[in-house]
Amino acid sequence: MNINTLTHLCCFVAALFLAPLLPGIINKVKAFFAGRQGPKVTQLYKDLGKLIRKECVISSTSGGILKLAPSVILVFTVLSAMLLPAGFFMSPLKFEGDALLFFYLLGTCRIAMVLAALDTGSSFEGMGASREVFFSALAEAAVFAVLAFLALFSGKLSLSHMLCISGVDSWMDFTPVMLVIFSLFLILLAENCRVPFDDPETHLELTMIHEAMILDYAGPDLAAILYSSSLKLWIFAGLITSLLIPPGVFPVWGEILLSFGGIFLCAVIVGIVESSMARYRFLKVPPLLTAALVLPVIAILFYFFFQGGVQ
Amino acid sequence: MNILFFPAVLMISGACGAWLFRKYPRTATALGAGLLCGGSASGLALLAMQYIRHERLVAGDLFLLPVLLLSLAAAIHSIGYLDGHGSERSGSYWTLFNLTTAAMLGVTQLESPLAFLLAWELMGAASFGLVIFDRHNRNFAKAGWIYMIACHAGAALLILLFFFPHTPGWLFLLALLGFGLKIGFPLLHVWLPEAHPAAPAPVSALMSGAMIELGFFGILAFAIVPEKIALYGWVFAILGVITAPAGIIFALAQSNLKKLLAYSSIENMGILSCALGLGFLGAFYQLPMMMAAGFAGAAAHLLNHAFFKGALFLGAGSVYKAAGTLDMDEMGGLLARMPRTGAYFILNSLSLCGLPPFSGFAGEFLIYCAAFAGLFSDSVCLIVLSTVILVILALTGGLAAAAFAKAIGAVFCGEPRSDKAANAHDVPLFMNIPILVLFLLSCVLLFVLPEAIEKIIPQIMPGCEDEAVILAGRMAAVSMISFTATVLAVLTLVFRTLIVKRNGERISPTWDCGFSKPTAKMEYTGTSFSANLADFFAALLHPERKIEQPQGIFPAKAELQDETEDGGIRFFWRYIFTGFNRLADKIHALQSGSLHFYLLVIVIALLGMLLNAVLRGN
Repeated sequence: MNINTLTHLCCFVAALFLAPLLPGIINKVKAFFAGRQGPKVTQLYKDLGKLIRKECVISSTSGGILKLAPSVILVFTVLSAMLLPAGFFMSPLKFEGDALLFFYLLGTCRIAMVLAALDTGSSFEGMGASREVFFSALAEAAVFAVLAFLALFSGKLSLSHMLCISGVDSWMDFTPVMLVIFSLFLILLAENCRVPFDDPETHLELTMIHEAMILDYAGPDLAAILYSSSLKLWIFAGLITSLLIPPGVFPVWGEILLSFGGIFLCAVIVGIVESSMARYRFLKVPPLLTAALVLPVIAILFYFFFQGGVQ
Repeated sequence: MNILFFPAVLMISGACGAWLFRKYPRTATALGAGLLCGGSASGLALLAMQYIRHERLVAGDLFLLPVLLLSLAAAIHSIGYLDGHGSERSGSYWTLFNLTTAAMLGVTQLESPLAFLLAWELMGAASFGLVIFDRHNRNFAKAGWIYMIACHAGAALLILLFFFPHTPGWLFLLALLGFGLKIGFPLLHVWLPEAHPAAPAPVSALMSGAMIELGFFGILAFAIVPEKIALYGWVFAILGVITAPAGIIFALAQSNLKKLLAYSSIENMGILSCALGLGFLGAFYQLPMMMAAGFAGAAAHLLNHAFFKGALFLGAGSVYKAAGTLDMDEMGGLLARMPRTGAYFILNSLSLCGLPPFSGFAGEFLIYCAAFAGLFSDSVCLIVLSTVILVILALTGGLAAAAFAKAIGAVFCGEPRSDKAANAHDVPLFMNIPILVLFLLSCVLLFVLPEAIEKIIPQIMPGCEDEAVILAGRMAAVSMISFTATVLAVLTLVFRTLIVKRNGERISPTWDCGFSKPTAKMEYTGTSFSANLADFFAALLHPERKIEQPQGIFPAKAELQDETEDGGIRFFWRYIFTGFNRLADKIHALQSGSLHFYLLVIVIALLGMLLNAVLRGN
């Protein structure tokens, strides 16, 4: 086992332990803006600890998907977290094309969640599932436009290479990368059901998406789902951070600190966004996702016009 | 002599036997089904022996495999399906079924144009008989009519194709139209969503899983010349980019389970067309990676689609037998009532959507690889096309997931929405086994794909040895991670069971915001599930909406009904056919009954011919 793999594994394990901090940070930032004290940053750890000791409640309508889904979601989210590079330490699982597998694994998680929601027969959960598949289909197109840009920019198909792009030194490189990062941030908000796409704090089931889909979970199952959600947030924040940090500029410890710090900073920014704006009406969400699709396309055009990538 | 002579003879004798004993349905079933299964099984065995002896595959074999497998699976399922759905006429069913399968074997094996055309026509005619077999179905006459027109229009174009000399461009256009009618390219697809819901489920499985793909075989076998590959590439790719999203968007809006599956077949043919297009363009631009990945992706997706769509149609047949309807808004809760059918249906649907860890992902992965390889080329057109294909395939994948989430949710999840669904019971085990076997075969495909790519690609595409090794490496990684994911998920499930055992588990009604017990009336139907998406794509779908809004202070009744008729019929063919009718009415005036007028017409015709001869003579 070489040093790269070892470092990646350490970072990966650290990520697994640190991921539940992110919702805590977001809530703390929101509380700060609202002038409240807010729950502790470590609140989710306590919640998880409590939930895992509670009994399970299963809907009598369920045909069995409800029980299966949390395990599938947990395992697949952890696997895709493993495919993500930590800073410029490449994932030991990396292969050319793992970027596709990465996003498709997250897609399987999503469909498992949707089916579990439908399995309960609840009208709120059906509503949430219906909105989830709608927005995620559009987000999927945006994700692949981003991938197309990153593949062009790096010439590779594995996340570990695509995200560690070096040589971004002029504004002609910098501008398209920033566009893509902005698009990725929109995708992060959409995929993790944050404001303005969805409001995790709402008290009305009619307006929820993700929270509505997990209404019927309790105990260890709910713990698995809450944990997977926080890990998914970590993964998307990690995507953005890895893209921003240039490889090889800083020493190893600096690189690791930067990548973790960047992820926490991402959570802070999400918190600021949530404090400063309201959830969009559902009709206004598709245009926003279309923007997330158009930005990387503009980035590709920009790249070609100013790079002379094509003669 | 062709190796498939023996299986074909078995099938034809099965057809004859079933027809002779049509007065005795049980004997006819035994003869027809027995000889068909024997024929298919021996065909599979012969194919395997041939492969072991020569270690070679030809394109025909690739298309033959789904025919043999699906005919076997569909035949076993038919025995249960026909029980109560026309078993007294099973003699004619088995005659037609055996003839269809034998004709499909002929299509993949016969090389002379005349023999091919005869087999092709027999395939169309026999399957027409099967489409109109289920007379309980309200739409069987309309469906049969549309299917027959499509078959004959296709055959007319193929006669033009085979028996008149053409330039390669015209040859390709005729093949695209003639065979495209089978494949279901946009505007030529109208028969699919009509014929599939009307036909008995095993017939739909055979037609959707194996027959429509033969259209691609026809184009590849008879209309391809090496000089024109750029044209083929662009046409296939652009057709695919249109067909795939359009097919799945229409699938989303359907409330009939088999219609949804039929539109999803159109989508998958679009993806296949994209893959072929990428392959041809890779060959033209001399990008071996793109070519290898494109064609390998097409082959993998073809097999996957055959497995999954065959299995899903058979599953839909089981659901129809149990619930007595194909309207998804009248089903619900069937997973708890028919767990085997439900579980297999869900597994196959998820695979068909291309989600890992299932085999469907393998085909899509290769196609994405081909598109990414196109992205790394020097040609601006190719880069634009690859980007478009990437985004469109991703969107299609997301929408396919939505469509199948709708199907699974509406059919198998929640509370039953009708008495029939509430009292449904699982079909006999032997009807489920073919579905399970098809799914397991697809899992096997996932694990043999790396080796198959490494061995077969260099045989078919010389000069792609390195690319074959690279692609095989990627596929090996995909199958390894898929396997790990499955094992880990199972282990986590076991772990969950242990925790739950310690903490205890309680069954209680779904929590529904203060209602003590939610009923089927409250839950989301399939139509409401897809309403968001249908509204978003309303410009394409033009759904006909009947809405009755709640009124007054104590609203009593409210209704919302969405119906999406096929766009091709409504906005294209209807105008063509009414225009044609109007023209025919005008010509009808010539037939006045007056002898003088007829003589005048004859004289004018003769004068015209004379003039023509004189002018030509000069």
